[in-house]
Amino acid sequence: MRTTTIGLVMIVRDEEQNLPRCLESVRNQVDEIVIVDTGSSDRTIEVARRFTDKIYRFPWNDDFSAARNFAIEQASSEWLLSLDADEELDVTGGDLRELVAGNRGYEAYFLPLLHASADLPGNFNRYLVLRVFRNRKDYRFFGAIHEQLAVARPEAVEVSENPVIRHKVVAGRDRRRKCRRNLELLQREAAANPGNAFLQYYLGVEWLGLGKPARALPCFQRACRELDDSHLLFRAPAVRYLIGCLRALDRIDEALCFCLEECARYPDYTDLFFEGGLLLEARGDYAVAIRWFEEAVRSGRPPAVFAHTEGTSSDLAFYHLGYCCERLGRFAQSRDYYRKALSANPECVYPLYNLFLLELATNGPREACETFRSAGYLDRPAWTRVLVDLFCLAGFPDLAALCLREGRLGREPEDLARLARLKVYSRQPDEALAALGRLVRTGGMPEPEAELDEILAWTAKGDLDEARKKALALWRRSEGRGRVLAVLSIVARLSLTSRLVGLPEKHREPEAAKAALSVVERCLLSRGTHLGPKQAEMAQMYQKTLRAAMDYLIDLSPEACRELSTHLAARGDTVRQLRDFRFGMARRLCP
Amino acid sequence: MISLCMIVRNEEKNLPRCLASAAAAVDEIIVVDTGSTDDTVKVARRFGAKVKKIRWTDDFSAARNASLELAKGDWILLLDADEELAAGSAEVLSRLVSAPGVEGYFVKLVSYIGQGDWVEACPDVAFRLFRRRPEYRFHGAVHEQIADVIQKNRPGAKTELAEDLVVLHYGYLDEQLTEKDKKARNLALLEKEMAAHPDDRLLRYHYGVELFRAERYGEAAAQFTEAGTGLDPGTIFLPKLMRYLILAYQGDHQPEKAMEAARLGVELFPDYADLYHYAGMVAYDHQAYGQAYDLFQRALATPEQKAHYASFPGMRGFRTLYQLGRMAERFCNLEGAMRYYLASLRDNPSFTPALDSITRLLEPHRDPVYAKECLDKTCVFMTPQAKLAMGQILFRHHAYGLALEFLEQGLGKQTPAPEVMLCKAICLFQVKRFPEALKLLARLKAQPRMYSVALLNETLYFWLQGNRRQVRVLVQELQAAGVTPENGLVLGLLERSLTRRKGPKVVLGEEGLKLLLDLLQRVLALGETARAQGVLDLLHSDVLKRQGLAIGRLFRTWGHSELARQYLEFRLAKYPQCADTAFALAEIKEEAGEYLAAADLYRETLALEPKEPRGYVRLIGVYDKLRREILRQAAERYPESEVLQTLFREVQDE
Repeated sequence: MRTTTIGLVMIVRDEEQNLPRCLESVRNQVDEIVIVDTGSSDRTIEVARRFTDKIYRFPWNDDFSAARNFAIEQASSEWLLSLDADEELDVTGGDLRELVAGNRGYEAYFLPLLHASADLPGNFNRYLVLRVFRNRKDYRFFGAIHEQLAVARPEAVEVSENPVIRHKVVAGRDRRRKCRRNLELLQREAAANPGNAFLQYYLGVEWLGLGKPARALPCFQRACRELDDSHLLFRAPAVRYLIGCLRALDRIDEALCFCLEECARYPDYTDLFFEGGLLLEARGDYAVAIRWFEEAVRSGRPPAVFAHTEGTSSDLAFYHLGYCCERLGRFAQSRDYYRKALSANPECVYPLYNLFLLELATNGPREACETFRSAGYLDRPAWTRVLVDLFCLAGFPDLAALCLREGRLGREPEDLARLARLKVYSRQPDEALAALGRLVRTGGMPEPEAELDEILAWTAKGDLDEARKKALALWRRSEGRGRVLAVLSIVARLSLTSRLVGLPEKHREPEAAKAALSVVERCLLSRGTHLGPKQAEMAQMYQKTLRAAMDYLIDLSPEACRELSTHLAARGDTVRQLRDFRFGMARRLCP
Repeated sequence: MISLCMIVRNEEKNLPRCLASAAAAVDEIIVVDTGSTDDTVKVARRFGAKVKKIRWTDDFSAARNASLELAKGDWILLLDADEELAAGSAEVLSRLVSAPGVEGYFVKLVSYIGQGDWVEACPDVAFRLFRRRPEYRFHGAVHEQIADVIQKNRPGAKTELAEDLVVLHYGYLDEQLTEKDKKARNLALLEKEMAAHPDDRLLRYHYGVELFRAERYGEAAAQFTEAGTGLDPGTIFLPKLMRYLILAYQGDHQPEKAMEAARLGVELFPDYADLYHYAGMVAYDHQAYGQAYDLFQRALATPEQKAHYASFPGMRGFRTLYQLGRMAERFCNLEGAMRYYLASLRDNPSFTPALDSITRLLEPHRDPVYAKECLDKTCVFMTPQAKLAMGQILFRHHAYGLALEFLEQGLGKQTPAPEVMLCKAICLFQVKRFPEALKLLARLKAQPRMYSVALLNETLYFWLQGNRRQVRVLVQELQAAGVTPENGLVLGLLERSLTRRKGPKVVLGEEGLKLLLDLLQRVLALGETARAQGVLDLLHSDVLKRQGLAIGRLFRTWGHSELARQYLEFRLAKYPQCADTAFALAEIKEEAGEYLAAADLYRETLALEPKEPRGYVRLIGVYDKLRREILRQAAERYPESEVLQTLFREVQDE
């Protein structure tokens, strides 16, 4: 039986990292692969050759459409799929071949594009993009950037829920670099086409990507005004971005008015209810915000045509519901919501921080730990790691150790280092050294913080010579000498016999201060598990070390003094926060 | 025309007050006597009452109805012999009975409760005034009722609340209610009636109250719930029922249910102070301080209470303020606590618990002059009783000199009760006016009840003198008079500490320790620290560990922080789970400027008792102090740094 042929067309430059994953994902979905290189200086072509021999070069002329159209012209399949190298095709929900085979007279398909969020792990922004189309001479891209495919009859375009295109997370620096490049191109094009509202939308997106909401706002305002509902694919995200800009600019009431208008216009658009909730939350209207977030949960995922952030109807909404309840003092409800948020999207650990504080304040550390254990939170390594760190920072290293043990962490180098740090916090230097020993034996390289832990462990044991030796060994490396000087100074202050170490040069001061502050933190938050006589001795050693580190910071520089003061203030604030959580209005009884 | 109807038995003492108050306000007086053996009938006749004697049949309604049969007036007024009409009631009464269309009135009933010189007035309402009609007759053997009969006979009949007709009730002052057999009898009668009238909610409510008084809280709660479920919110006894329900659940150790009842209660009666107060108490007892604070504040903010709420005195004032003071102490906020206690005392100058707390906070044993100054500003001690009471409070807080002053002023020339005399003797002893003390003790010895304690004080005197022989003689005398084995051990300890004889370490139980600590506190107050230590050295180390907290506190009270620290550390090593010890030790270290060690121990406290505020409050305080110290050093080290100077000034101002 003859099957319809499908071809992948893509344009690439310097994509040796991304390309294999992308091409791997379409291996069984397409019959030909056309790759147009616009001037790579890395091994992109070499990588591509493993998948196809249809590789072409096209000199870059600041025009995406020209490059893409050149690629189309090289393809001979009946249908074409267009992808970027940092995307993948996810066919778990449905095949590309099935889609094309079942075609009933359509000319092109929109597919969902899931854009992984850099700030919210496990969350996606969901857009529709036109990426599958018949290979016909009149279907060509236009627009130098954000090239769009021109299909004559809009009714011949169908929206398909599957397969799905996944866009990988872009690191902040790469994103900004791309934004600047795109912005230049777009501005040039907008100058040439002043009436094009799509370009305004794209301009807004790039300004936002560069963190400039004030510049983005007028672009989105024009896009929203000039695009009508036949361009919902653009107008819908423009509405959300516009609200986001106003929120970032603290023009909350204005945003709320606009949001209400648009909600009335698109009553199915979940994301708008979520946005409204955020605005009300920012205003402090928690009770009303709760109703909006609940509405977002109730509405569920909106129709595909609306650009949608995955999570606005589930974990993100739950998280904000938890937060609003927390602010209203409805702690039990708040806890439930945070739990829901976590189970809806286990990859996003932020709700765990709030949940932790709530549990700690309402039930105390021990019960909190037991709750997490019995609720199965320690079955997930990522959650366990967060809990271990949080218990440490809250001054309960014993419970952190329990989490680590129950969660059966400790094989990864990261976790061995964590275990060592934990033991330093727990005032058990021997165990800390044992963990570090295992880390080295399993081939892990101690991080700077772990090196500090090792020296602190020797100090706590009272073996100042060994501590000094370890520090001197680090001196041989050229980097991190400020840190080493700080540690040496602190050790020297502890032993009365040895002479004082000089203060570091000016440019090493920040590094030295940071190291000394780490020592302060470990000592301040450390806590022995028992109050036996040996622990009392250990406690004294920690107190002496703390004193030495603080004295060092005072001697180091005025800036270091200020940092130390800030650090101590932060410690007090943490306890204050816990206290306020715990006692609500009764905090007015505090002296 | 108004008929006063009463039923009485052996009320010759109360009756004149009652009849004198009512005689001018009513047109006839009917008295039904159910078997007096005193001059009740004679008294009644003196006031022109129509008297009928009937046989008591364990049925209040029967007796009441007998009195109604005799009445001729258009209206019936009911009073009990231990009640009276407030002054000016005649005008009010005549106005009420001339109001058209009203069948009966609930009137305001103010009960006086308390004992001695502490009396409080509790308002409530009762159905006491109604039209005389042959069909209006009482039913119910114990809590005789008539208001429901009126409703049954004339559906929609108007009954009103007349808050300006006030009946004063003195009966509770005699504490008749605490008689056990009366309670049991009432319960038995009520149970019988309940069986006959299972749907009578008022009866069920009364039954619940009797159960509550008999401290059968769980059963009481069940009855209140049944009586209250689905009741019309306008029902006159529903507010009180809700209050009882909260208290019953609390008594039954069901705090969640108590809070639930409170929630329901304030939904129905959002201006009812008692509900907030008692819910606050429930929250307080369960360390839900945030909630408790909120509820207490709400209690204070409620408006003047409606009469049928029968609000307990102080719910909107001194009692709630007192609880807030206690709570402020838990938050280590002594100034705030003092303010609440003072406000409480201002609201009710005879509320002794507030005065006691104020005195305690003043630490009168440290600085009696300052304490006296403050107390004089706080209260006016006009009466001898007030002075005596203050003297005893000061005595309890170990301010012996000051206590003596108040006691002497309060006593004047009169001979005090033995307990007060003992107080005075000990005060004299503690201010080292030994001859006078011994003279008083000798007089006390004549009282059999005071013999042992007086002798013990004499023993203490000779022990302090180091007079071994005399101590031995007195101890033998005490033993001859009979002492418990535990107290015998304490006496042995005293003797042995004088001889330096070697022997096994002593193990003491509860009772012995109580006595010993009491004596040690006296010894330390006298400045005889070495002698106190001498006795403690004879104790077994297990006892010292167990009692380390009490001993440590004792030493701290009398300014021996170093010794206190030793005992506390000793105890903490053995009992690391004791939050009180960790906290006490932390306080000593904080005072000594050892902030890091103090912070360690406060964190320990916090971990051991996360629901208590003191660990948080003190830990924050220590971090603040530490920061202040760091900034002081930094500001000295870098006088040229503007930033540091400013920061230092800021923390100094905090």
